[in-house]
Amino acid sequence: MLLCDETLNVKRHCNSPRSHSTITRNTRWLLSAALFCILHAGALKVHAEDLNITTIAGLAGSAGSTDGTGNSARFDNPSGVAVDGAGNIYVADSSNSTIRKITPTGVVTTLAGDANSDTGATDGVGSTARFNGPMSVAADGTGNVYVADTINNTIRKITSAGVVSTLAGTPGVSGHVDGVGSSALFNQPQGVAVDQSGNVYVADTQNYTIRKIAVTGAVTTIAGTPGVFGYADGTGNAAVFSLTTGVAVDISGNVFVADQSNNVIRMVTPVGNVSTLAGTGDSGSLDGLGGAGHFLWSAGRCGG
Amino acid sequence: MGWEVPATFYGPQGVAVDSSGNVYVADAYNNTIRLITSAGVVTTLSGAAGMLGSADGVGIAARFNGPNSIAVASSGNVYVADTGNNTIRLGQTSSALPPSLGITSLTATPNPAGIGQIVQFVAAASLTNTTISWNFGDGSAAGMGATVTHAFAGSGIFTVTIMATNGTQTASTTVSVSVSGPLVGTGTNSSGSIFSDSFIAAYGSIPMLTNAANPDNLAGVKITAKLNFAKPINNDSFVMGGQLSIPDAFVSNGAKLALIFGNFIEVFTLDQQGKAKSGNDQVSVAIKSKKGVVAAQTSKFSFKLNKDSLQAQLAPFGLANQTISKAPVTISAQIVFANALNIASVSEHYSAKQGKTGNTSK
Repeated sequence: MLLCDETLNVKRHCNSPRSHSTITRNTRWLLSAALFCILHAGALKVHAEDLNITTIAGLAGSAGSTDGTGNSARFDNPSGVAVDGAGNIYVADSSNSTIRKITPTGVVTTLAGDANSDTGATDGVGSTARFNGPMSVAADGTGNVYVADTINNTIRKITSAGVVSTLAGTPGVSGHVDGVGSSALFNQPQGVAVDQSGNVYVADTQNYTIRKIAVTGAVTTIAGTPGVFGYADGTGNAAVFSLTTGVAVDISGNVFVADQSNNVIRMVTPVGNVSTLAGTGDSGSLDGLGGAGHFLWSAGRCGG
Repeated sequence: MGWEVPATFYGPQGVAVDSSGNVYVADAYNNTIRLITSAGVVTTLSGAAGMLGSADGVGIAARFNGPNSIAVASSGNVYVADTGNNTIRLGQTSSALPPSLGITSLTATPNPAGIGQIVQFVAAASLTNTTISWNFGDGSAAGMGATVTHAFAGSGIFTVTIMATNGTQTASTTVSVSVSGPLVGTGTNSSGSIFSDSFIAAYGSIPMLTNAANPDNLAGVKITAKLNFAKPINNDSFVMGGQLSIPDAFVSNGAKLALIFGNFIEVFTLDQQGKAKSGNDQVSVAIKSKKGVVAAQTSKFSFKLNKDSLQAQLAPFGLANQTISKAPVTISAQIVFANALNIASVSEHYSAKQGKTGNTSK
């Protein structure tokens, strides 16, 4: 990581020529480094306060499907987690093909699906419903839970009463079709989020796109080019993603995307402008600048 | 390679955003949790890049195994689906830590409790790498572990403190336990009926206490019995009765009367007149002899209690005894009164041989 007292002496690790003049790039670099140091000394210090991590449910190294409290419960490849306004936690328990619920006191129950039955796509109440490798959950403000039912290529909805329905997509049929409800098609969606208005956002992983399911049930593609794997910022289908595995939405309607194979976090504005929030594209674990860093990087990324 | 300043990720799988615009990332292949502040600065909140494991801990001390998803609550709590570990993790900033330190619930059962009764304390949640100790608030030795038991020797309201430490931080939370004098709980009698009150459950094997202030007030109870076993049907009787001066201390709503015959126990709730409340004056009795062999048997036992008298006897058809031997048979009966403050008891024993009427003794 960059150390602030080294700011003026820090050296770039690349010298690949680009159209920008060295002076311009150095100037921008120093300004950016200075900005980083200011942030590092201020906001960063506050936010950098480490998280204390505890295990609230499940037992490391022990897979299973048992309901129970705390470490007496078992999960099998839990791939998605969400929390509602009351502090209830929802888990997409992928290999069990179930959706689990954890109360604020740590009691784990199975909200929907049956770990001891075959996978499926049946709608129904609680344990009568079936899922197939669900990898993501989201909770809205009224007790509904949304599920990216990945292998089924569908998005499911679970009401607070445990009633499971299929919100969009057709089980067992993959594709990239916009439309309403079952006429829309997905390709192994791994991420789901819901905004305050009830709009659902989907990381349509194998289509390399971000989809939106309006409250009316109409499915649209808000960013990415279906079937095109790559990297490009831009607007709507001019933007290109790799495997889109995670999605989140803020109160302003900005959508954040874990662009997994590109090793970056992308942001999609409500009008569909896609930018890179953080990450260079290279794999690594460096802390540093996100958006500002990318601004530098995109102007003169070195090493190709 | 890029410049050092821009942050890098490795297979980021999950993303979440809070109401302030801070973005949290489950940086799966790095096995870390990252934060992109609304100002655009990327830091590592927990875990160590390239280090795989399941350890709980603060910041770089924690380990993950391919975390696929992350969520953030309005409280600031961060939840991680730690996929490869098959666990759900909770992340809290240290400022949000006290008083729980991962203790999501704390229970004391039963509460309120009786003197000498075993109370179980359970701290819910996994507390890996956390040392838990308990101060019971009564001067006794500390307890250790997430689940402990303790019996309070005296009455009062005790503040029980759980202390949790992970080596660098300590937090605590408390629960109050109300302990009072003789109380009754729940249990099952020898015929399998479940009672809402049972002295056995309340006291376990602890000897019955005697209310020293009124030790003799139950002396008016007489047990008269006839057990000759010569003719199994109709000839045996077991009558308990006489003047029973119920101590004033027990004439209060909620006081209990227990009839105990050998391993049989039946508990009655008394009303404010010292009468048994309606609906519970018919019980099933199973008598087992102290000596000899009397097969376990049941018979309706009628019971009438007024403030000053007690009449209790087996139903007219008596005991259907088939297998009595020639050895003396002794049946013990005990009457116990108790309320929240006092307890008093009297016992009688009846011993008889086959074909002969026996004698009672204290």
